[in-house]
Amino acid sequence: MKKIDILKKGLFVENPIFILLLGMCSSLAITTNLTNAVGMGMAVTAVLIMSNMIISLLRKIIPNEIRIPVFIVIIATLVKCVQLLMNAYTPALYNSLGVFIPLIVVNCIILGRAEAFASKNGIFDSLLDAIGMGLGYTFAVVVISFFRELIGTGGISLLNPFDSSQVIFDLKLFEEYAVSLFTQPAGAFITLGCILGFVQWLKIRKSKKEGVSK
Amino acid sequence: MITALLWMALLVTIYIMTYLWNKKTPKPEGCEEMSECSGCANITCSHHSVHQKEENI
Amino acid sequence: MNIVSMFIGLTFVNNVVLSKFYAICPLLGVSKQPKNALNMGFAVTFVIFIASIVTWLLYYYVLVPLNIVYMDLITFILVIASLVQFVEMFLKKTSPEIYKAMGVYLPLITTNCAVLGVALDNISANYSLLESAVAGIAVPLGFTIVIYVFALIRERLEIANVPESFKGTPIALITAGIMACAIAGIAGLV
Repeated sequence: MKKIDILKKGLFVENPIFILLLGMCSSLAITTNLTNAVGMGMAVTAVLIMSNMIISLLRKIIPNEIRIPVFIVIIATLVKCVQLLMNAYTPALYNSLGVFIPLIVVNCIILGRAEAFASKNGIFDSLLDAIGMGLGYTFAVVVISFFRELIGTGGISLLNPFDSSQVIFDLKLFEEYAVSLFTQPAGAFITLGCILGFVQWLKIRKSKKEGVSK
Repeated sequence: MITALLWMALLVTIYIMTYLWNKKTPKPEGCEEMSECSGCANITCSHHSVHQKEENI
Repeated sequence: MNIVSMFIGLTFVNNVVLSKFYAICPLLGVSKQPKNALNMGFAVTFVIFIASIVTWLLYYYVLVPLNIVYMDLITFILVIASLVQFVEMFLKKTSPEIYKAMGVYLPLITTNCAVLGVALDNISANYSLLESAVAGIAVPLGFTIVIYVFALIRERLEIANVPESFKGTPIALITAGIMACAIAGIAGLV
């Protein structure tokens, strides 16, 4: 497989949330606003890159029999490091993401990529895979949070994750028509349900087109 | 620091031991199939296809 | 805090699935037959109850005295994972009947968000041992109720005339969204 394909597949063809339906818990919980989504995307990508690289390096040393417990230990250690770093450098983000930072440990994406890719491929390919999947996750949560924040608050804003007083942009479009349901849990389910419906519609359309051309 | 490492080593040993122990215990009859679980991607689950393949080999 | 109001709060108002988003995977995965959903619920209840007590004891009687509180996450995930392995093995050996009914769902929840989430929440909310034990029953009870009701709805959805694009997971998520609206209706209760 070409290097660029490894990178690209995580973004669309095998998008972890929209196509593979992995890591749904965090993608529903932290998408109340764009800033949280970007922060969580960064945290997941960081853990994914480190875990994929470490596991790829150790893939010949780890006994096959006990590889899954070993993966869990490595991932838990990395997540704790990321959690402590975020507590130190991005305190506002740390507080708003809360328990979902430690819960990255049980995020199926990380373990899934470790098992399906990093334990079988070289370090550079694993790095590309991690970047692709991490960006795919980030893309997905950004899309979900974009709709939730836009419909739920009538505006869209992004703060610098490292310094919450620094506003990158803050647009207020139709505040008086905001539907606050979308910032609540119910809105998360409905937004993701509609996006997945759209993805499924695209898939059906594509397979129909292929059927006609044949 | 050393207590933390010892503590972690202890936990990891316990986990790996119970993991191997559980893996070696065969499933009772009639429980081999878990067709219900097609939609879940949790690879730590021992019903996941990752674990099934090993048994066949 | 009053135990009764805490119990109702954790079971319904702050429902583990519909307002905290723990355990979405099993909700979507094992909710096609109500009977299986109920058995899954029992398995989750059992594991969360034991795990919340064990992790609480380890945190306050091992991690805090040894001054290694930063090992909390690693301790919890390893303890929960070993606990599930142990219980599964125990059931396999001692009672195949119980294993057949609920044991098959045990391995699913090794790294379920809900188990680790409850353990971490018990610590961050500064619960006492009794409160942690109550949380260890109330939270999975909420999970069981939701997954059972959800399975009943999905059984009907199977024969409903859903638009082709929304079949499967999309409509299930929208159903969960409508259920979350219902839960949000009692938000001011506790």
